[in-house]
Amino acid sequence: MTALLEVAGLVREYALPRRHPFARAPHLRVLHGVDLTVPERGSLGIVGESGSGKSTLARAVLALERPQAGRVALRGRDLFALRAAELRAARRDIQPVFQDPYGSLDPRHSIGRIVAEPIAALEPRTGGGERRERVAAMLHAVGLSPAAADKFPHEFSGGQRQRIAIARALVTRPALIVADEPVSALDVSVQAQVLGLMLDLQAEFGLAWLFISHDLAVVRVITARVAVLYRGRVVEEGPTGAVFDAPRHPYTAALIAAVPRVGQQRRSAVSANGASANDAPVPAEGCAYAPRCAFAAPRCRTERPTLGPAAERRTACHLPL
Amino acid sequence: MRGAWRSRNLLAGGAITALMVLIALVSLVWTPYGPTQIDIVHRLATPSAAHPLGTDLFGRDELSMLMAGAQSSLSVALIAVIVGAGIGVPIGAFAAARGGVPDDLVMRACDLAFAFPALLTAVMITALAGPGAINAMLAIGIFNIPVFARITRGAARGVWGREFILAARAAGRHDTAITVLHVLPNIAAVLLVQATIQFALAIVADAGLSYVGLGTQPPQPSWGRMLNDAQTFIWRAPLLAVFPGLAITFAVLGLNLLGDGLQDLLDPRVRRAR
Amino acid sequence: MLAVENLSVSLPMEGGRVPVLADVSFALARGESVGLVGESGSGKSMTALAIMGLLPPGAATSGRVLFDGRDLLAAAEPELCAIRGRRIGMVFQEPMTALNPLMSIGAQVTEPLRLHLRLGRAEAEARARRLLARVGLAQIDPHRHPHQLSGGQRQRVVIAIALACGPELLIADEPTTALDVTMQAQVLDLLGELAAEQGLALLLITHDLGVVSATAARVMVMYAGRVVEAGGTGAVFAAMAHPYTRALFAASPHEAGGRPAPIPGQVPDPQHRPPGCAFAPRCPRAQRDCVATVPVLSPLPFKGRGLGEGSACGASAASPAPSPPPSPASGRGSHVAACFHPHPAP
Repeated sequence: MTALLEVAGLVREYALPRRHPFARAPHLRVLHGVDLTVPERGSLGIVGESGSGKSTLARAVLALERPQAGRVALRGRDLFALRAAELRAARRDIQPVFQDPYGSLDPRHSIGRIVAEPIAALEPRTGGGERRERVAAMLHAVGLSPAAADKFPHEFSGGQRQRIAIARALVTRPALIVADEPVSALDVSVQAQVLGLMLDLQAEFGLAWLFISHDLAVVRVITARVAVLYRGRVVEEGPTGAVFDAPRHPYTAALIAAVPRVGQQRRSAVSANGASANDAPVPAEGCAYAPRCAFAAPRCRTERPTLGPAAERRTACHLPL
Repeated sequence: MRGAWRSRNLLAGGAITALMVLIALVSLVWTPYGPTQIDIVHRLATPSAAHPLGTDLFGRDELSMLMAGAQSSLSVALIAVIVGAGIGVPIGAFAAARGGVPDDLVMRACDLAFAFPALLTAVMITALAGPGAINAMLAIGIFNIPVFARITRGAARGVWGREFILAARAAGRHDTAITVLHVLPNIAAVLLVQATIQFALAIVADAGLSYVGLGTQPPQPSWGRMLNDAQTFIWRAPLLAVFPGLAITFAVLGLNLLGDGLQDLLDPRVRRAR
Repeated sequence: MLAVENLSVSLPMEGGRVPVLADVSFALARGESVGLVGESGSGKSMTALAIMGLLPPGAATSGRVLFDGRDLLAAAEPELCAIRGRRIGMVFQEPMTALNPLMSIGAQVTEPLRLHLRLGRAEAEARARRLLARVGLAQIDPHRHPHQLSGGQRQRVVIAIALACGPELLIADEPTTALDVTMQAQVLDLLGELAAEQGLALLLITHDLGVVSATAARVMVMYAGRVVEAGGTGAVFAAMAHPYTRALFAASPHEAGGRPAPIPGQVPDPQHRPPGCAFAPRCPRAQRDCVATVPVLSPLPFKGRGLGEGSACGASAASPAPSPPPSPASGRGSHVAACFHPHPAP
């Protein structure tokens, strides 16, 4: 089976402000060579805390930001090697859903216009009648009435707006949807509705999801496989259930242990020192997690563990659990 | 738009501005006397039934001149704002869309333009290019360009950071299309408010230019020129200076009130929830 | 120490006064922690604002909020100011907006000490350093500014400020929602320790059932401005009686263990709340009596006729009488639910 999405060696750096006018601008490396694969109709979850590079990854996969190195291939074609017209054609196959249901819809556009925007931009020859029909069909598919097309975003609740964002993403019948924290801003009961919708749509439209979230439970509901991102590197990858039930990387284990659940005594956080993912100092060599790791050995501080070749389960750790 | 009726600023400003526009329009077809009609016998007349605001040193009817003056003041200010916005908004929108070096260049150019005292430079430009209404419009308009460029750029940068822009980019929209379809509609309110403020400033600038004889040329009456003419007789006929002064004050006040009112109405932070 | 008695709040909205809180009663003793759970619009944050006297202008209240015997709803603003920040500390969801970006964190912790306790500069600074150390920020330079800290560190600073004057009650409104899970765990541990060691009472407001379960001894579930179920955290989650509590639990991906079950329908607007039980239109167990009358909080298990069949206590609640103010003995640990047809205990 050929992979729908293949990300290889993705490196993304941002320029930081210069220290003085003549200094070279320092760079912050956010992604350190990320490899990922999403099969056709498959689903891959990306979990990680703030500062792990999740959103940067989403933007690079959507070809919104050009990485410094690496490739993002959709059905074997590198998005960053395409010419502008080819890239626009490829965009029909890869569409986003973002986190903020209040920020991701232009408040000045009607719902019909918002949902039709990918058609208008990517298939400009589509006639008005067909466009309206497809918008109505998509609104119906996400559980909204076709009458919603004439309304404006402020007339809808957060959950409904997220449905509209999903309808917009689906309207060009993409093969892959990149969802960056799509339910994090929603109330629990609404979240359950939207998650259910996403699962149904995956079956109905033969979609693949790249599902990015900090919420392990949500990722578990939606995805078949999961990759755990720590400071710009994938530290563990495998089938979602297996990874969460029996994590091998100490960071994955710490994440899972930290989630409070009803009726369970929360184990005290495995990472006991007060540093979070985005402010712990990154060691120049060795494992990036070693400074927070309860099990770190001398080798972890000198030699960087690698994820290894593609396999059912992979862990970038010298001493997996 | 029920909120419009709750705002006294908006009502008062809108009414004053509408009145000014109405007077200017009426003056195109009718004034009590011809605004250039000289009647040397009745020069420097005090207000009376025949001449409600009196006459000037040539016996021209003050009311007719004020009405015709509104015409020239408003049209000079309007064109100046259109020139400023027409060039400044695209520049600012471009800077915001591109970011980086183009953005820096545009903004430094604006800083440079702000370093010149606007009115003095407008005086210099009209003095060099020759006095007249057209040159006054351009001279004032040029100094509106950086104002509009800067405010457009600032507001547009805020919109560019929002997620619906990312969605539009993922839908394959060009920067230009995004600017036209998403960015400008979302900053229109800010620009409209700024335009009313610049309009008021342009009226003052126009009055200043024609006061020193560089704006609208005689015989077409203008408020600035009327002030200048009146100062010779300030002790004999003080009202001749008062009326054009009041006209300028009212026009500026009305526009500023209108701008404040629009800001309250359009600013989502002030707007009541549903 | 804190007793909220039949607290009702209504706000002016388009179309008249709209009740946003109805008949909320609970008591909180020294060293006790209570979790307030609900979705947005349930009234949980409004309850906190009412206790602190920070309701939006135009709000009308009835009932009493007794803090150490004084009714805060009747108290004048200067008195409230002396209590807020000094005897009641507050922690909000977004640590970045709760801090002044232009002041160093040390100065922000010192400020309430000088304002409320009138401490001298040196004394206040020494105390601020101890507070920062207590919340686990001993290694952080107090001259740093908020933007130089991570989200978890900022929330600790906010907690240090809230604790500065040694309050008796800490109100935390979604204190960990903006934080990563590992940070959340540390902040929750910290709140738990503080309650235990300083006898601090904690009112924890959250939408996350897991957070309540991990932190609070008692829980109150709110829906559409009313408390629908309350009791000891263990007892409530072991035998969830109100259908809404169960639905919330089943909708949570953490708890459902599989595909979460959505709750049909939507939370009603405060303007359009149904006349009877507000949850009735979405409730799988609703019957005719639920639509007619508002059920009051009643102790579980219900006496009398069979559980969940017919009207368990519909007759006794035929007229919507206000629930009795909690007496110190009964109101505390007992499991209560506002439902005519509660789920029977397993």
